[in-house]
Amino acid sequence: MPDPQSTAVLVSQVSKTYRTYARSPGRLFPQSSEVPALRKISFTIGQGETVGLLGRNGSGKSTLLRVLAGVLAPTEGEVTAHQKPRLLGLSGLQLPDLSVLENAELMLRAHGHSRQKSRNLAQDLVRDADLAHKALLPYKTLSTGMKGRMSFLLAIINQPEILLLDEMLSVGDQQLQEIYTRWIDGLQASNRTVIIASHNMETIQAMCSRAIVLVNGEVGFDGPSGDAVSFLQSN
Amino acid sequence: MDRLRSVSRTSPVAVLREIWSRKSFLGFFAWSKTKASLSESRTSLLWWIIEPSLKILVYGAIFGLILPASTRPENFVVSLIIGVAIFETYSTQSGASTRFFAQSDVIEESTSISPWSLMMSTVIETYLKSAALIVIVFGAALLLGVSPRLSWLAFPLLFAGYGVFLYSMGLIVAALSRFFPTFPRLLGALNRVVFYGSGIFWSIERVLASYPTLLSIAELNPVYQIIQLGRAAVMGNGIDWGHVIALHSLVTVVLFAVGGLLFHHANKSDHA
Repeated sequence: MPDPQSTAVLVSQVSKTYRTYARSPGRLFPQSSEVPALRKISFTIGQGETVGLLGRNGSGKSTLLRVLAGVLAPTEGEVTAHQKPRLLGLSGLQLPDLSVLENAELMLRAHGHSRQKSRNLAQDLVRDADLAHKALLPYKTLSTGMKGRMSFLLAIINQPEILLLDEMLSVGDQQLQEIYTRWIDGLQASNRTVIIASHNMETIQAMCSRAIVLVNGEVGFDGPSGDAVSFLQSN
Repeated sequence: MDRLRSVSRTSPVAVLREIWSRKSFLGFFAWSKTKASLSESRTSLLWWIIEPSLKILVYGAIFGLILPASTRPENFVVSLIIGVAIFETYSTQSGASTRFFAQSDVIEESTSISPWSLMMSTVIETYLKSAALIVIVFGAALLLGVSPRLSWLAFPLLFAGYGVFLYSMGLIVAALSRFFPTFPRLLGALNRVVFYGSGIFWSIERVLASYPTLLSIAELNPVYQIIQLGRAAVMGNGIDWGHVIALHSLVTVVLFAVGGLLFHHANKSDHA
């Protein structure tokens, strides 16, 4: 039994099945169907660990992260944690018709900052994202890359104790990747617990001492990240 | 060191605590969404006022001509405006709630703010979008000779109470829209029943005076209850305040309990 004093996240026999509809060609009415996304997953994450989450497309990584964040309830099993994990993704609180600055302020207010502090931080953030020239323009006028940069900087403003990162390494230019790597290093230095889901095996190996590989919704491997990458490549 | 807690379970106390602690953000978020909807075009702000005014004119003209005077509520024009204002507020909330989970899932993921709190923001947004209607109600009342009275001060309290009903309806509609994707189509028809059964342009008390059973059923419509209270507050209509408020409170408590249960199950249900 894991020691609750040093365990940050405890996943016990978690399964998740989606109910959906299957439509065969030529049939008028769809038939109900169940899609198992996670199957009896169990593992523990210790305080201050940085763990990679690897797997092919459709292996259940995003579903697992959402279950860990408490956004999705498991069909079976339970996730318990020292504090509620926060899922950081590149989507989020965005109102396309408001300006870039207004969106930044909104997200900062969502993170609990006061009105004045949000306004000041928003201006700093827009400048750091190299978007000062677009600050007053509608958010929808930003390119995909600009939105990614903005979303990333907004997402990392608050740093909860347990962070879940979903594919944030996959987007952004070289500069953003470097910022991201430095930020992860900072998190590790502050003893935060981080779970990173990614297809980028090299970066997972560099950032994480341990990795979990999901195969068809099950834990296929849980151990040193180098061995996890080898396992994934061989399967 | 804190013990481990379930990440997906929440309690009513935790929800209330979060709504209270996040009240500033929830209001700001509602205001931001309202601002965004008004920035869609240069004329959006005008339509905020023109659209409900046109509805009032159309209903007034059509039902003022069709219905005999004996079936219309007292002070027909002001009664109509109050009825339209209150129904449109309900209609705005129910429409927004059909799309609730599609938006709240993403927000919950990135901010950890629970859907229960986000639904409160939806109610605030509904009120902001209905603000023009309230101005029209009092403006029209003054123009049409209704004298200001002490009971006008009851309107904010009335709307606060109405807010609990709107929140409950929001929970129900959001949950049913999640369980049954075609529910929004049915909602249109249900809202028509609420519309015609709320006494907006006809006097329920007068028309159903000879049908006590139907009258009792009609009196259970919470939108009708608020319209009665609204008309009494603005024009001093003689109603049994205690009876209507008690009935409205009872219906709202039942709807809140039903909505809470449905929303709880819908909140964590499957969505790929």
